[in-house]
Amino acid sequence: MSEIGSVCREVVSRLDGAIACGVVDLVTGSLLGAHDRDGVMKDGLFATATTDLLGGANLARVLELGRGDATSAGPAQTLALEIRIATGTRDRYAKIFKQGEAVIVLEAERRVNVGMVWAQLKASVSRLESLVP
Amino acid sequence: MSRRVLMVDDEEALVWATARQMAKARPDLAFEGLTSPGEALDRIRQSPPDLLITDVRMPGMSGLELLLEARTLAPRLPVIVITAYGTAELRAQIRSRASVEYLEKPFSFPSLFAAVDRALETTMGFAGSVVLPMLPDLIQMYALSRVTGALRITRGATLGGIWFDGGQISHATCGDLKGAQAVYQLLRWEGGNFRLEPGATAPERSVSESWQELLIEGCRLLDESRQGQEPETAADAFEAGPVSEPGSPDLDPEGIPVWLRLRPLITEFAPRALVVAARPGTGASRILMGDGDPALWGRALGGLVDRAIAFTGEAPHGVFECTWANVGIAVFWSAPARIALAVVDSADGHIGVSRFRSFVTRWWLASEQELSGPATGGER
Repeated sequence: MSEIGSVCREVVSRLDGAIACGVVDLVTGSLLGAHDRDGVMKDGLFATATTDLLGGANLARVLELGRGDATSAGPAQTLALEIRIATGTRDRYAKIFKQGEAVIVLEAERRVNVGMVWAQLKASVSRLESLVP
Repeated sequence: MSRRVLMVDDEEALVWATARQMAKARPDLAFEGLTSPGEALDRIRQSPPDLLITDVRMPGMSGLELLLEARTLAPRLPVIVITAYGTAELRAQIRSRASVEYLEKPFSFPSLFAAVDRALETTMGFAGSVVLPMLPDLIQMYALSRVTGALRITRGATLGGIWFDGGQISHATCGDLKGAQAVYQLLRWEGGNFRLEPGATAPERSVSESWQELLIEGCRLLDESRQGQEPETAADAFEAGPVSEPGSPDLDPEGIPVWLRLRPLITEFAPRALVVAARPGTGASRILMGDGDPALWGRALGGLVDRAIAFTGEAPHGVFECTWANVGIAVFWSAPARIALAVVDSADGHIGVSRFRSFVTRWWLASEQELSGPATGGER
């Protein structure tokens, strides 16, 4: 298992209710490593959909509009963004790092402790910074 | 549409008995019995039936006079003449006319039904139903087929008619309108029922334009009126958006759109927030609170929701929430309801958006069993 995969496994093992964790390169759209109990991140579509959502122009546009700066077209990925997406059954947490070039995504059951999730992701990012090319 | 049989006989008991027997033996036919030939003529003038059954001797107007009048209005109308006073001369007179059956009283109901079947077969052609997206298609079809007859069109309580004479339109009515204006008005209708009465001739000539001219001008006017109705802004488009069906996720139990309900609550939770409602995929958007460009927000939110749905594996509902610095953005979406609601709080992003998200999550997604348990974890 890659070192990135090991970091992901640690995140999942330390969080009660965590299902999968993966790191995606938002520049190339590739999955750099993952630990997955449910197969949700093994699919090639996961990395593609993640890049499309978090690395694409659409999110940048929404952030710029939200910042009240609709005229500037600067990439919003440079921001250290924390994103949570809740659906009916599960939540996904994403933390963008490396100046917007990579993201760590955690999929968890809704019962997971949200504060613990962010604490774990922040801790893992400091280790991943040096591992992501 | 059922085929209509109109019977007129001054013997009320016979009309009543025929109606009962007809309903049992030929339930697919729409039977109407009248005792007055004058009333029957009015009914035929209004809308010719598929078959007329008439007695000969009646007060005010004889059956033969009625037949002549009816044939003027609907030349191919099949008729069954019934009489208790049959003579060789009468039989000859009746048989000289096309599509007229003759029955002597007293007659058996099976013999009447057999006569009805024969009479209707003469005008049967191909029967069925067709749904056409546009009335011009139907007009063009009849015109090119060089039809003579009346195309009766109804929409709700409004009646319309277009009379064809060898394929050319000779007369048209639509409510109180007549002539070309009636055709143009009919072309604006986006739905209704139609029925062709083959052979019916126009009571007057009110149209001088060719059918091609009428269609071109009618479609031009239709385009103009549609352009006039087109929403000019994203906000108008939002208001003009699809009307939600009862039970739709964007309606509360009282049928009020959730986004409308939420406005006062947003004011309470995040008084300085920018709140945008959008219909993903349409560009339609509306600023509910604060200042913003609805068109820009409509496009941006639509794209974001599409990607969020793909990212979550086609989740029908969801909340996209992100925070940085002191700004928080939460986007709630409902794919079935085709609606997205964005709250941007730059004054106290974390708290305002979190409180609002908790509230909406409970309300909007409460129907999902998975969310019926206690709230998860602590807030950031």
